[in-house]
Amino acid sequence: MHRIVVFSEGGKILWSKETEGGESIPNSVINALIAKEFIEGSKVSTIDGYTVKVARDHQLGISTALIHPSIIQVAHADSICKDLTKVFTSVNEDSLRGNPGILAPADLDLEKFTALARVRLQDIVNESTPVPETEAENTVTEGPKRSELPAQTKQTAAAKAAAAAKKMQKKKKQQRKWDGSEDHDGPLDYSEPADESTASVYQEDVDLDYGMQSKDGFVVKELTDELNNILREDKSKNSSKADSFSFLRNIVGGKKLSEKDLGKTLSAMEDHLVNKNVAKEVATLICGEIRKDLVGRTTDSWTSVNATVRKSLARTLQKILTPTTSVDLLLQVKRSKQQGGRPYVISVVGVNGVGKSTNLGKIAFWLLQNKMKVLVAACDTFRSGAVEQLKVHVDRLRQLTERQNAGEVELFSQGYGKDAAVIAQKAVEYGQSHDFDVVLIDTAGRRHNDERLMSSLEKFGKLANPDKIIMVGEALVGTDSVAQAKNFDSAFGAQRHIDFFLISKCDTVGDMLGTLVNMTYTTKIPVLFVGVGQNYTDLRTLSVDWAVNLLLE
Amino acid sequence: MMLIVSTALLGLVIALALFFVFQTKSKTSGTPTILLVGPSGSGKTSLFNLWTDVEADTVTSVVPNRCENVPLQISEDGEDTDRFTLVDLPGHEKLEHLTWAEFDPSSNVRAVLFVVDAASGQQKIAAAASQLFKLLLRTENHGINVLILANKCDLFNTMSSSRVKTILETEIGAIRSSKQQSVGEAGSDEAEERAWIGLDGKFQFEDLESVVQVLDGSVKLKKTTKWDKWLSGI
Ligand SMILES: Nc1nc2c(ncn2[C@@H]2O[C@H](COP(=O)(O)OP(=O)(O)OP(=O)(O)O)[C@@H](O)[C@H]2O)c(=O)[nH]1
Ligand SMILES: Nc1nc2c(ncn2[C@@H]2O[C@H](COP(=O)(O)OP(=O)(O)OP(=O)(O)O)[C@@H](O)[C@H]2O)c(=O)[nH]1
Ligand SMILES: [Mg+2]
Ligand SMILES: [Mg+2]
Repeated sequence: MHRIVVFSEGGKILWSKETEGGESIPNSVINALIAKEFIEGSKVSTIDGYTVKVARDHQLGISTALIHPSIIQVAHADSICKDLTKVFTSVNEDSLRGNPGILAPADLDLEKFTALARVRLQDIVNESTPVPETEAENTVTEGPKRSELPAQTKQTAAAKAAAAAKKMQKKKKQQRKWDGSEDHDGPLDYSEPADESTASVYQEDVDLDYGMQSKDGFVVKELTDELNNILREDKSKNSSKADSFSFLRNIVGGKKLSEKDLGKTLSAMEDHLVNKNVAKEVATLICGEIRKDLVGRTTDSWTSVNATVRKSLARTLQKILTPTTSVDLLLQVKRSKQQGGRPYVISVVGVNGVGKSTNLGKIAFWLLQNKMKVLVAACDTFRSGAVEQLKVHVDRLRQLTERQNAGEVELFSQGYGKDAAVIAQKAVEYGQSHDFDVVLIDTAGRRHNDERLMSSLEKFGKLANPDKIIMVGEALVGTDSVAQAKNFDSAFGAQRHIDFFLISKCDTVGDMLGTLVNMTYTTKIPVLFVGVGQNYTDLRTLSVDWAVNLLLE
Repeated sequence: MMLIVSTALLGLVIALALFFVFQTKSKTSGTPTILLVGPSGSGKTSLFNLWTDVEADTVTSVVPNRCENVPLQISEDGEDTDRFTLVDLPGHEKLEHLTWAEFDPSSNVRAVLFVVDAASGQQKIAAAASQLFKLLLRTENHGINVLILANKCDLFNTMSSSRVKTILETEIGAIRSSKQQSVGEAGSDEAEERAWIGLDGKFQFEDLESVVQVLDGSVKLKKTTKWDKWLSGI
């Protein structure tokens, strides 16, 4: 019912153990965990109905994941992962310090680790089932029996278990007192039928004839002592040993980085980022990630601490700014055009005056250049002059495109005061019946903390149902961009998110591109376009390298 | 006084020693290198393990795997052949900069193996084309040959290598023309010039300057003969 996996950053499974019985837990769960937590930088606790926990040793590149169906609970999963990572790295430290590329399970002392892991897991059982002998036996026989049941009969088994649950309730509470822990994975719902397997899960794993000698020939008592030694050992202590040539190592490299070495450089980096308009909170988090990544590592040859930190910062920024899946907007519009039916609907949202209407005009211009038939919908029914402003844009775009023999453009407007969501819906219907390829919807600017206006976005999203929602943010804004991005992203309801950002006015901030980082870091939504001026041609796709270079400058 | 002098001397000696150690180390970075690139889950690490004699199951990679002196060419007379540094790169899009970093001027990339999961369906294979396109922009620039490995031919729903080729070519054709019409990238002027590969008209791998081929196989069944042969020819 649970699986524990130790794997390397390179993606090699070094050790894996699964309790018998039940369906086996696929690697795809671990893959999703790695993608989310290690690469995309978002926290996950459940994947596909499984609860996942992971502990990562950045220095040696080893992680331990514990996965179990969410319907059962495993106490202390967090500390199990942490401890097992520590045990694994301690037992195999020498091999792990070598090239991780040639790391092979066959070269590791897995028997020793398995033996220690057993003891660690048995410990959990002792800790969390402080029940008299007779009751303990009960739990032991219960576990395997249930998991032997074929899938179809699980339902009835669950019903039986539910009846037993009441009895368990008492025992459970007692248990809680004993282990005294607060870090359970979820609410302790005692009526949950599968709940009582918490304790039995580990029983399955532990040999019942655990005497003085384990299967592998290790003496349990010795193992326990060794385990305790490993877990007690404080790694940070060895690394703080004085190095008499540290001044030289800072030049030629090969310096082992401690918290102390990094402290100064990192706080300088943090200031640097803040100067680039990165919000303080974001800068702190980014530097925290770099610290985790670097502490205990050895600097490359001829690389100073400073350069090492810069390199790591560059990598981190690359990761933050690169989208999880690349978007080719034009290609998608073209495909939708080929299929016919509903036009491709794009809508812009954002705070007042950030450049929504202007950049909508730029997007329209680009689509017209590609011979698209574009309908521009004036759904800013709020600010006076908004419709006229858009009309000026459309008239100018029409003149330009007629001269160049490009696409066709038209304005859809119904004046002021009406519900923007309804107008948007009508615009899409009009667009469909008149064979438009694209409908571009302009919306009213709104403060991200104006609850009334923000709440109307959900209805707008439902009625207009845009293929892409673009949030426009301005590069000038700085710290406030964090809250702006968050609030707009959540305004469309739980099912709908912003698709990407367009950051306007990048021409006015020089290298202070912090807004890009703020918005992508907090929402994990990519920046697709940047606005670089007031002309229709002043729209660019984001080049990650360009942005990272400017941010590091 | 003595102490200071001797410490300084010792420091100098160590610095020199370290210098030579690192000197020889940095030379090896110029050894001929073969890169394993491609979407996440296509089988790069599995193939890396196979070719480096490691038995291990795999999960998503977060960092590259690197191994030096891998004998990748089989010679018929059993003579010693060139050895390569084999690099397995993570496929997740957010980590693509790690791949591009392998093309820096000091490196010596001899060939790129682009691994695709031929059983992952038309859509997934088409999605791989955008990464392949970016890769080809670089390999064309450097005259590096690319082999596309249609992996997992053991699975029942696998596609033939010619089908994989057609899907990739069609998709790259579409991407290529759309890139031509896209708004430029921020901070670069010659973006449009760079973004074109191949000849006018329908996009075909045969029209590229470097050799680009698609060959099928299966890491799982250790069916890599076609790939081995191709590697022996580079
Ligand atoms: N320098 C520069 N100015 C821009 C850019 N984008 C927009 N602007 C200017 O910003 C100002 C506001 O632009 P609008 O498009 O009216 O902004 P909006 O978000 O539609 O404003 P509201 O509808 O009032 O919320 C105009 O003067 C634009 O010319 C850009 O990329 N660079
Ligand atoms: N059936 C089959 N499965 C394969 C084959 N090659 C690899 N796999 C499986 O495909 C999955 C992904 O393989 P990996 O080698 O981890 O993929 P990768 O390309 O390294 O993925 P990333 O590290 O995320 O970029 C694993 O479960 C492999 O066992 C094959 O030839 N046939
Ligand atoms: Mg406006
Ligand atoms: Mg891999």
